Amino acid sequence: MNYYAGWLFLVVASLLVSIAAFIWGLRSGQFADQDRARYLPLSKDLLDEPLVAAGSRKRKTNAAVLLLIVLMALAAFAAALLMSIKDHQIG
Amino acid sequence: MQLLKVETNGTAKLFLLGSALWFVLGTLEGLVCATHMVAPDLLGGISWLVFGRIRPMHTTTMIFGFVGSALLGCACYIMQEVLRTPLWSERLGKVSLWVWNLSIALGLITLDLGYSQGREYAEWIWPADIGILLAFALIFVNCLQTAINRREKIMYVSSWYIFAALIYTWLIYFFGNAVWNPATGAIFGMPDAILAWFYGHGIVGLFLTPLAVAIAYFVVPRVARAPLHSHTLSLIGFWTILIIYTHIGTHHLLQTPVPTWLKVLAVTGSIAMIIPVMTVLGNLWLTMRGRLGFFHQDIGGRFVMAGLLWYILTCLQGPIQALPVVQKVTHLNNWVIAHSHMGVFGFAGTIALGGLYYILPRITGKPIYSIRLADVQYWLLLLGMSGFFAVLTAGGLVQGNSWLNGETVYRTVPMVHVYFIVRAAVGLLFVGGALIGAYNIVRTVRGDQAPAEERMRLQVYGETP
Ligand code: HEM
Repeated sequence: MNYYAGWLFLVVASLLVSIAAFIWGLRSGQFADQDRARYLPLSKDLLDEPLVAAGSRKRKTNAAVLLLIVLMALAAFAAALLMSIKDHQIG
Repeated sequence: MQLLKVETNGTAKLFLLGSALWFVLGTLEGLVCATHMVAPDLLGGISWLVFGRIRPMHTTTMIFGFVGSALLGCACYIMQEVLRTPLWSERLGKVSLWVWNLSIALGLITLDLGYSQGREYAEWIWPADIGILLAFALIFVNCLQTAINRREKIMYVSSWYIFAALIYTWLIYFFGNAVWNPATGAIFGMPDAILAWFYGHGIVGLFLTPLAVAIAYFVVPRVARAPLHSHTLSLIGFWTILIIYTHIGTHHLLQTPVPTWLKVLAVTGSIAMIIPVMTVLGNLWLTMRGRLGFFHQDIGGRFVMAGLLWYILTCLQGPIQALPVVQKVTHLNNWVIAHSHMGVFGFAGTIALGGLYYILPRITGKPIYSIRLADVQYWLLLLGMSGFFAVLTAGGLVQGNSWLNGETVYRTVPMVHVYFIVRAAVGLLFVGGALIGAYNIVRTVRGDQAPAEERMRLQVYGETP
């Protein structure tokens, strides 16, 4: 028991902090007006800022590059999975 | 005193500036490491340039200096915005800023002189650890007082994440660095490995992740000019990440004699991480949907969008590589280094830069010095990150496959040499990106404007917006 004392203390301390914060949130009405909370990042000064959307070429280039990244990553994950499954079957 | 000058958002501004400068140092250290991999003898035996010293300098500069500083700077700003209350004490903020930066400098200099505590991301010596803990405590007090005095009753999800990051990081830093053992910063045996990896895992999962998510939750609705899709969902994500992320650090130690129950907890928890991650990404996606054009246009929004994409990929890869059967191929090779860069830089670093570019002009009241330079930086870093992921993953799979087939480690080294060469070359993109970013950010903080862009702005808006 003593062996894992430091680690256990850390996990228990973390849990206690979470529970305390949750109870405080519940009691102080933090989870009540959730619809208004959605608007909190927005502020009046945004109304004075110009709202500009990118042109279609810029959008397409960005989106295509991001899509390529996703495909590359998915291929990598599939490769690792296949290699490990193959090895597992042989093993 | 000038160093502690009280000015609105001065703390946030200097944290962001510091981040840009640490980024340059961090990429240069990375390049030295990459050079060692290609040509181990090239730099001779210069003690302060050996791999064993520069490698931990690189990781800690990036985590704490670059990404950490930018996240903390953004957090100081966001806290005030969402709570509709100025920071409780800008002077205390400046004190924490200097303690933070001096501790990082101390940790790095002593590492370079050969003083290391030898545990990953916890290498810094005791005085630097105490400085970091003190900085976190001071920032926490400042944010707490700001929250106590807040004018907005409801705490927006970003502020929950910021508080969680400050409290949890303090706890894991304290325990993970075993600060009650100043000489070693460690305990002993297997429990030390477990503690060390709860720390290593916590640093990315409970320091970088919540702060980066807090920024995304702030920037995304603003760039989209739309309310968050669901605040309730965001809180579900918040509480589930706290419950799951805090105890899965053992997935770094699946190949060691850790008790099985801890491994089971780690693997199942890693898979369950899909829940909080998907709530964040689903919620933000539904907020952005139909408004992506604004994100492609706004440089801050664009960095955040790319960061979120890396977040999905990192957290898709994470549960896969937490499976013991997959780790037989991926553990202890360059595959993990690809994941590390994708998480720390691709996700947290890119969102931190997005927050920086979004927030800095709002602090200085002037536009970014040059949007074009920021754009060049974006592409260099996106290309660099993709290149890194590709080359490290491929190299990792070659290593993993060879080991599975019984090759000895030394025979696999020539096989991956070409990958190391490409990796060093791709690293140059990062160095370039960091240098351009630092120049742009220093000029922005000084309030300068690139002449060509100022002329263009005048033509479009009639005045500098
Ligand atoms: C669903 C979320 C995630 C899961 C389940 C996960 C899982 C894992 C696992 C299993 C490893 C160990 C791989 C091995 O040694 O074989 C690992 C390593 C690592 N992860 Fe993650 N990860 C997640 C998200 C993240 C994020 C968001 C970041 C960064 C912000 C990150 C940064 C790292 C780093 C730096 C390492 C390398 C640690 C080392 O030096 O060995 N991870 N991750």
